[in-house]
Amino acid sequence: MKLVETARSAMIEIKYHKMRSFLSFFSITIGVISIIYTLTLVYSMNYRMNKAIEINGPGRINIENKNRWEEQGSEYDESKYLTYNDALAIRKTFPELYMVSPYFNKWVRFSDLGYDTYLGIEGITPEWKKRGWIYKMKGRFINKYDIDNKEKVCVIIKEGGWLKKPKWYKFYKYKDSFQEYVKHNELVGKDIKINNNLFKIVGVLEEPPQEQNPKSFIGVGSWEPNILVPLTTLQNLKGYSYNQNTSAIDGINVDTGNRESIEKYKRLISEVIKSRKNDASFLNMRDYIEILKDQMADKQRDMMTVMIIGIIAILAGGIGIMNVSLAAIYSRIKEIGIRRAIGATRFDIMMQFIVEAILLGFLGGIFGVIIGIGAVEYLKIKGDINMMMFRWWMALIAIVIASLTGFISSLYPASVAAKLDPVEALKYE
Amino acid sequence: MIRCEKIVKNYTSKSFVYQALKGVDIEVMENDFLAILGPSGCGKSTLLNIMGFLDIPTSGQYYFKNVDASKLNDKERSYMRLKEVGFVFQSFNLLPRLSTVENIILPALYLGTSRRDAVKKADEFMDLFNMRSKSRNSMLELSGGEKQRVAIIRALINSPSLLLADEPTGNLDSSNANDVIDILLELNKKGMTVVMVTHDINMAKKAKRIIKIKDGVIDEAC
Ligand SMILES: Nc1ncnc2c1ncn2[C@@H]1O[C@H](COP(=O)(O)OP(=O)(O)OP(=O)(O)O)[C@@H](O)[C@H]1O
Ligand SMILES: [Mg+2]
Repeated sequence: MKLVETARSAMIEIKYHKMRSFLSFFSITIGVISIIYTLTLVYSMNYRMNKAIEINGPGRINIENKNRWEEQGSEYDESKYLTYNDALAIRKTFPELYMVSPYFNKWVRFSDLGYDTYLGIEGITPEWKKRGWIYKMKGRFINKYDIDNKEKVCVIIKEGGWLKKPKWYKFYKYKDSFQEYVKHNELVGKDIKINNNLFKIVGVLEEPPQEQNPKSFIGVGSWEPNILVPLTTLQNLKGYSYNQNTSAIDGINVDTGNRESIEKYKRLISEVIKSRKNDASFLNMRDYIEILKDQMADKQRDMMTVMIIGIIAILAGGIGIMNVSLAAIYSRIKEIGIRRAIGATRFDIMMQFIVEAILLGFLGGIFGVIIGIGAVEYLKIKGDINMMMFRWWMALIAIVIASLTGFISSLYPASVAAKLDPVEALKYE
Repeated sequence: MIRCEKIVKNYTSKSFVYQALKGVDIEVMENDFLAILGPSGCGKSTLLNIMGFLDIPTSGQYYFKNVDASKLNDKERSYMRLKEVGFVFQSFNLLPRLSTVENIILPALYLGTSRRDAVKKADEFMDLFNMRSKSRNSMLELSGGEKQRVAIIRALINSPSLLLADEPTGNLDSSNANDVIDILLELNKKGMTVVMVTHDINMAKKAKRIIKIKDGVIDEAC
């Protein structure tokens, strides 16, 4: 019998037992929903992870003070925290390092919006540029001269906006008055007032649109400053920071250039610090992959739960189909006998049951995909960036798995049906 | 065309062996119309099932167009049922969920015929047997006589060379029964070889030849 015909008669059977069919593929539907969710999440996390590594460099190490979140008063001496000079020493000792980028954050008074506000700004060196350049630049970046002379200059980061603003955006994003200001003013060459000091805006870095901005996918490093100034300038500026000492920095981002050398440089850098301060135990050195993994661990746990639910649902669905098919055989012995009597082979009978089960699985898969995509869309509206990474091949995989489940769980019932003796089956009432 | 040689069929249950056929010899020629007559339980259906490749004899040989049935495997025997033999049963054995035309074309579909060709052929037969108007009806909407006509068309759809009818009139009133017999006679006239099982001597008399079976052996041949 042609496969279409087998499928057609299977469809008749499924339609005839709508409720029974629905119950048998319902679990499959749930399984498919969770497969879609899991796949989207895995894909998204993988994508973000790789993208983050790509942007930040494969050999990225972040060095910070262990006690960053504790109040650090000026009673601490320089042997207990990272300083700008430490960064310079590391740079000097290891000229082969791709990047040694010290940074320091401070909240300072900013008064160009018509009112005073405190904004976080970041002190950096020109090496900052190497951390993953995704910007379109107007004007120039902070240079060595600015650092050496503690120039009052700054670079402003302008958000990329949206190519097409998503519906959820207006619920989701508070209005950022600074970005509004940046958006509506031509800034390069102008002065802005920070702590009553005039800073010259020498450059504007424009991020790509949100849809294309890898940072919005990465979602790591929760807070990002909008204003960059020379590190040396910021150190002498009044404001709130974790460490009030003028020599202090928050941390150093190092890029060794490749993943393999990370461990080596962690050790070497720690030795340099130790030789300078007799102690390196206050250092917290993490390579970037570690940081990413930490940040994704939560999601990963969610994902595992959903995946386990999915696997159980699929298994239950398979067993459901098997059960229904087995039960169906006993109510269809006569039919099987008739079909055999008019010339159907064992294989024909087997195919009939297999195709029916595959169709059940397939239908369960389709339902699952419909509901799953609905769920993905809903989560997107709720602002789940991961769900933006849904791809159609995931639906395809889910449907294939669903159909395969139908197929596998039909093998036993189908072989039972095929083995029935035609004469006996025909006599059955 | 077919030849049974010393056909024995035993049914073995847990403790004892029941001999349904005890050595039956029958030969049926091309275009014959044979009636097998006998009381209930004498083994008529068993014999017919063997002739129709549905059942396998315990011993003895069955030849169909000089093919030894015992040499065929399950798939080949299925093919013989499909292509060479048409079966008509007392209880019709139609699939209740399928319409008239779907029931009729089923063997053709199993043979791999396209749906279009199968339906075309079914339409011709339905015209011939006055069933065209019931083409889309379900089996529940047909009378006994109509059901048997559907069953006969289904048996003919793959143009078999042998038609086996197991008490085809058993569930019908006399007028419908006569109709069915007339159809079989008509088919026989056109060249079909027919073997019909019955316990009704009046029906058997319409055949070209009668064989009487009693307790699993041939009682007398006429
Ligand atoms: N599977 C079986 N197991 C045991 N005995 C069986 C089996 N099938 C048939 N028989 C017996 O074999 C004998 C012949 O059966 P068969 O069906 O051929 O009779 P029949 O001549 O067609 O009778 P009827 O006219 O009632 O249809 C009967 O006595 C029946 O009880
Ligand atoms: Mg019988």
